Order: sequence, then C-alpha cells, then structure tokens
Amino acid sequence: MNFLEKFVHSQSKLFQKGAKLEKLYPLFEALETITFSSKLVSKTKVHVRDALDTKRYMIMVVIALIPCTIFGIYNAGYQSLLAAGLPSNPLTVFLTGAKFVLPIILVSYAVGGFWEAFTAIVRKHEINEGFLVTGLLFPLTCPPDLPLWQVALGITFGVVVGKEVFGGTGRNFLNPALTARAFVFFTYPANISGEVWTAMSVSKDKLIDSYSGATALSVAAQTPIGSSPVDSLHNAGFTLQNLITGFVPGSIGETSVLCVLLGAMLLLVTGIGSWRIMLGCLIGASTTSFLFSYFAGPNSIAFLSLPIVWQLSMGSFIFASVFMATDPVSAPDLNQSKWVYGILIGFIGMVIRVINPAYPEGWMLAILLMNVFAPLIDHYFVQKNIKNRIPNVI
Amino acid sequence: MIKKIKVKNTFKLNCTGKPSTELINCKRSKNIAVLPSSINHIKPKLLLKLGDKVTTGMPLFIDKRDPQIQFCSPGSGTVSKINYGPRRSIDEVIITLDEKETFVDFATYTSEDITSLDRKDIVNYLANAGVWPVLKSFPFKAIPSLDDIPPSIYVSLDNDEAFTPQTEVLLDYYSNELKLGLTILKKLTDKCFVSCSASNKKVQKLFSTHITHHITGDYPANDPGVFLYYNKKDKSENNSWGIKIEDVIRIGMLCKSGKYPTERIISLGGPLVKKPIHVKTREGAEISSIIDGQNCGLNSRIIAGGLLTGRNAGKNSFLGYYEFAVNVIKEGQDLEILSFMKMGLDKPTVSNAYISSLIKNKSFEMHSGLFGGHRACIACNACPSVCPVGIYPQLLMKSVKAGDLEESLQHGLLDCVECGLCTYVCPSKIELSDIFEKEKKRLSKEVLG
Repeated sequence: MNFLEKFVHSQSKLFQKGAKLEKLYPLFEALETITFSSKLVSKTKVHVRDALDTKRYMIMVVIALIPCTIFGIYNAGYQSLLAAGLPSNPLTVFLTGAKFVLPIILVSYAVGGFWEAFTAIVRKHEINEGFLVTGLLFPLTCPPDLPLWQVALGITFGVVVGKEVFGGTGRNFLNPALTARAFVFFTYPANISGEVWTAMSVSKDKLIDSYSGATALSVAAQTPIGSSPVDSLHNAGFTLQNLITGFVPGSIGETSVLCVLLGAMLLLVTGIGSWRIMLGCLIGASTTSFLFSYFAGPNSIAFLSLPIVWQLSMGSFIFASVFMATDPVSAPDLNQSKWVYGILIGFIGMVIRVINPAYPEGWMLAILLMNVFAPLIDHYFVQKNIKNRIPNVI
Repeated sequence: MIKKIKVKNTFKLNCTGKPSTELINCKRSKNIAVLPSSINHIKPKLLLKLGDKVTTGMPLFIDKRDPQIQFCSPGSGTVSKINYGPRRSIDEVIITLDEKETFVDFATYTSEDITSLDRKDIVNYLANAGVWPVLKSFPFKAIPSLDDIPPSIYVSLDNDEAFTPQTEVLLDYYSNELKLGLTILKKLTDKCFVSCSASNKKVQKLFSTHITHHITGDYPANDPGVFLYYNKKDKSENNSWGIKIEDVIRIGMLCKSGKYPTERIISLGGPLVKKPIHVKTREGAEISSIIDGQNCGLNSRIIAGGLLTGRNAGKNSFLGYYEFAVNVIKEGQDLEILSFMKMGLDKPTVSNAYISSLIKNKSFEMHSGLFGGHRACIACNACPSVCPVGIYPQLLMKSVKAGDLEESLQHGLLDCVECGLCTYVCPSKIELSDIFEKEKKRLSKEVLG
C-alpha cells in the first residue's frame, strides 16, 4: 500500500494548480478518491462527521442492481437460445447473454462517463458519483438487442439534457436514466417496442416454429373480449412462476421479480431506498388493478380482469417502483409527499398500461410525469407544515 | 406540577473518551487570556493597553455598540501581549499572572438578600462584575441590553453534547452557587423555566423546588433553544433568554464570594485523551496546561467546546468566556484503500449503510475526517430526521442560498439552535450549520445594529 500511496502522491503534482495537467484534475481526483479514502477534514464547528458519503450511497444502489444485471445477462442468452431451438447449457447461455448485454452496459458507462468527465473538467468541479447508478440503470431498461449507437445517443441525452444542463447531480428534476430511455423510445420506437425483446442468435428463418416475439403484456392486452387473460397467458407459455422468477422476454433487467426484491431488501435495510415510495407504488398499482377487475364487465376489454398478482408481476412495474421511482433527487423531499407521489405513480402507470392502447407499459411515463409534479406536492405539504409552526420572524 | 417534554429527532453521538466523574486540578497557568473576537454580536473596545496592570474583576473590554456591557479580567497581573487577527480584530489579550491574585470587591448576597433587591440593582450588579454576558437572548443568542425585560428565561440544568461537563460533578461542588444563581434569575423575569434531563435523578432530588420541566431525549434535547421551541405557546416568547447550568453557577459564585468568578469545572474528553476526566481550571486558562500529561500526540485537533459546536483551538490557545470543555480528536482519517467498499465495522453512521449499525451503542474513535468530498444535495432526507426543531434543513439551505429571506424565516431559520446534527449526517458534506449561522449573523447585523 505504501508503494501505491507514493505513486499516487507523485502523480498528484502533475495535476495541481499551475502544473501541466491542471485541467484534468477532476479525472485524477476521481481515481484518487476511488482508490483511497478522502483526505479532507472538517473546517467548521461540526468537527466530526457521519461515515456515509455519496460514494457509499451510490455503490449500495449499484450492488442492489447486481442480481438484476447478472440475471438479465443469463436471461437474454436463455431467451435467445430458446427461440433458436439451440442447446442451452448454463455456460453457453451465459456467454450468449454476455455477448448481447455487456456491450450495452460498457457503452452506457463509457459514453455517459465521458460526458460526466467532460462537464466536470469544463466546470472545474469533481466528478459526481450519481452517474455510477444512471450508467447501469439505463441499460437494464433496454432490450438486449438495442443497437449500440442508440444506447450511446440515449445515455448522452439522459446525462446531458436530463442532468448536466441543470447543473449536475442533485440539481435535475427528471430521472436521468428514464429520460435516456424516453429519448430512445420516442426517437427510435422500432427498436425499443414491438418484437424486440428477444435477442436474435440466428436469423429469423431459423427460429423454432412456436416462437412468437410477444411479451406477457402484449398477450394479455390482445386477449379477446370475453376470454380470460390468465388462459391466454398460459396458452402463450407464461406462468405466474416464470413471470416471478423472470425467465420471460423483456428488457434486460426488469423481468425477474425475485432479483428486484433482493435489491429492494438491500436498499430498504440500508435506508437508502425510500420505503414510502415503494409501498406507495404498490398500493396505487394494486388498488387500481383491483378496481379494474371489480368494475370489469363481460363486455369490457379482457385485460381489465387480470388478477392483481399477475398484473404486478408482469412488465417492469416492480423494477420501476424499486429503482426508478426511488431516485432521491427527482422524488419529492418530504415524507408525506412521497406517499402521494408513490400512489399516483402506481395509479397512472397502471392506467396507461391497461387502458391506453398506444403504450404497452406505463411506468416510464408515469414516473416522468410525477417527477414534474414532485415540487408541487412538496410545496403543498411544506405550506401545511409552515402553518403549524409558531412564526419566528424578525 | 412538573411538565414533561419529549424532544423528537435527537441523536446520541457515540464517541470514545467520555470523561469520568473524577475531578483533578489543572496545572497552574503562567498566562491567561481573554478572546474578545470570539464573542458574537459585539464590537470589542479594549479599555487597557499593553503593559497595564490588572486585578481580577477589573473591566477589560466593552461592547462599542452598548458600552454598558462590559467584560472583566479573569486574573490579576500584567497585560503582556495583544494578538490581532484579520481587520484588526482583537483575538487574544494575554495576561501574565502575578504570584498572588488581587480582586476587585463586589457585594455578596444570600438568598434572602436577593429577594429584597430591586431588579434594576441586580442588573447593575451583574453588569459591573462582567457577569451579565452569560445571558443570551434568542433568536440570535446575543447579549441582551441592560434595559431588556424578557418574556421568560429558559434554564437548562443538564448538558448532553459530547463531551461537556456532567451535572453530577458540578452538583458535588457548586450546589449552593447554583441555588443562588437560580434565585437571581427569578428576579429578572416573571416566568423562569428550569429544565433537567428526565434521567438525572440527582439534580431532580436536590433542586425539586426549582425544576419546572423534565426533558427526555439525547443531544440536543437539553439545549435552552430546544426547550424554548417545545415550550413556547406563541410568538411573544421568541425573544426569551436562555442560560446553561455552568453560567448560572457563575452568577451564584459572584453572589457568594463577592469576587469575579474565575474558577470553573470543565470536561476533558475525546479519543486522544489518555485519561478523560473533569478538570478544575479557570477562565482563560492555557489549553496546553489543561491537556498536560494526556499524551495527545502530534496529529490531533484540540477543540474548545463540544464535538459538534466547539472551536478548533489548538494547543497554544486559551479557554474562552463561554467554553467549558476541551475535546481532543485525531486530525483526519487514516489512509484506507477502497474505503467506500468496506464492511465498515469501525465507521459511525446514522444510516444502516455500514455494518457498524448492527451493533447497538457501539462507541467509535471519531476524528475530523469528512469521509468524502463536497457534493450537491441529493435529497437523501437524512437531515430532517435529526432536526429537533422540525426544520427541513435541505429546503432551508436552498432558500438561504437563493437569498429568499421570507421563505427562510417561514421554514424556521430563527428556530435553529445550531446543534450541528444536520451537518453531521449529511452524506454530501454540506456545511448546513455554518450556512445557517452565517445567515443569522448577517440578519442580526440588520436587526441589532
């Protein structure tokens, strides 16, 4: 460790004020503080500090995302080989999946990281760790065969327009990963919706006969009036079990309810993910789903009568409410506001998914919409709290 | 009828080096000093020059803005050195002590005498003896003018900051002085509220006739400002006065002896102190004589005051007018590789992000390291969960930085007691307490002049 310390210290001279590589100081600082603990000390009256810092905070979220990532790699390979009718021993599956997924993750980190470093150098501040999370969240919402240039454009839009333009981490009002996905969704809709959820290992004519590119959501939505959506799902090969374990086509990270719940447990135990938002989303979504099935008649669309457990296990509901909705910067600040925020996301997302024919899934739009409303919800509750204080003014 | 107050969102700082209840005498100081620039809200004007002789209790400097407020010399000897800071602020007035101490004589009073005194006489008595500045008027914690009559006075008989003198030790030596002090305070106002910690049975027994409130909660539940916040019924009480036990004792010491109160019992603690203990010393004592023999080491930060509100004094400094504690911690963190990936059994955190939070009441060797770099606010919501007066520090910080005074006041800027807990928990290492303090200072200049 002494050797490493001496080496880093000798290199630090190159980056000080007035030295040759002065402009690249943010890069050096990022590498130095990732390797070594911070040398900064308190310069004010609060002499001691809590050990939690933004690096630990963001790393916890990244660790919570690892089960989804690993499962996503495996599942991408599994779905692809299944569609092609090729043999699927675990190693082949994993390598096939890695072939599709790892480039997406690498491009996301590399291109997004470039923009973060560039902004830090231009603005002369340190590189912020918020990007560690955005850089992994965005790929997990993409289909496994999204063209890499679209990944690059998407993450650029998300980081630059969704975050840096407003001043960087902590100053954005929209979730950057969702902004990135929304950009790709609206600009290149053909590659991110429709029949793209299984990566192709072989050309289309070599697929097995029973292959259909449909996801559980599209099957349920297309169930004819009068039939049971559960039956249609069973016929298409979807069971509650494989929806919960996640061995179904979908975007890379969202399919497995179990992996998301593992991540949710870590976030809840460490206190980093807001349980109020997660529970609010659950309450909003299940209530809406229940109301749909309650009021569904024999002539309403069949999707309405899908039981709650199926409704919550399909699509990206669980992933979005645990990892996307809980982004602290774009969510409201007050605890009471978080309930309203979560419940409204649950309600709006379910409405868009089931009733709106234009969009197969509703969470990206619901969360982005509620991001815009978060300050308003906060404002209402802050005014309410202020009225309860005894005024202390000069 | 004793009222009970339960303070919300308090926090116990679990640091090693808690002072034991033993008392030792401090090594004798050759020099003492007063620190005029460390007194907030005054413009000090020195009444003496270099080389002048002083006696204990002689007026040494006054407040230019209100010349009736004077500070007296805490020792007798010769003014040997005056150290100036930026913009000619008077940082230190160092007095080399005589072998034998001489005193200015003031009147002595018993409890019965005090009850027959006029309020005006008491005010002049305290002011002439340089003891009036122990009173602090809210919201700016400024020294009240002599004509002020407060709506109420809030007295706290317990200290809960890490590490400050424990009442159990003070009661062993200064019970009578404390009683005298409380009697004086009750003459200064109609409503004198006296609080103690709900768990402090000793003070409850000895002062049952004086105590009006029992307070439950860790730091900073026993702060007079927090006591005021929880007890006030309307905004007329916002400019009450507050005072802590060690300062009430000072008033009582003056009444009992008729001399300026120089002696004080302070706490000496912190992870780098070999034997954390209470020390009998004097106002203005050399910090080096207080920590003598404690082997603090070179890489240390010597704090005059508590760990969350004290002054970074250093070993060449002196004990200030309001300082009743010395704490020594390590300067900075030991170098670690990939520290943010560690399990963190030795890392104190109020969140559960390190496994140290699995062990209840674990003590940590705290140090002055920040544990991270300065970042923007990520709205993690840790700070409102430790604010005892119901402020949202992240929202208040944003309105202060935006210059929106009206909104800052609505959020409760003037209720802030500057306990430092919000700054302690912030993962982005934002200096919240400092921001609020500076804004209040700026406001006080407009209001108080």
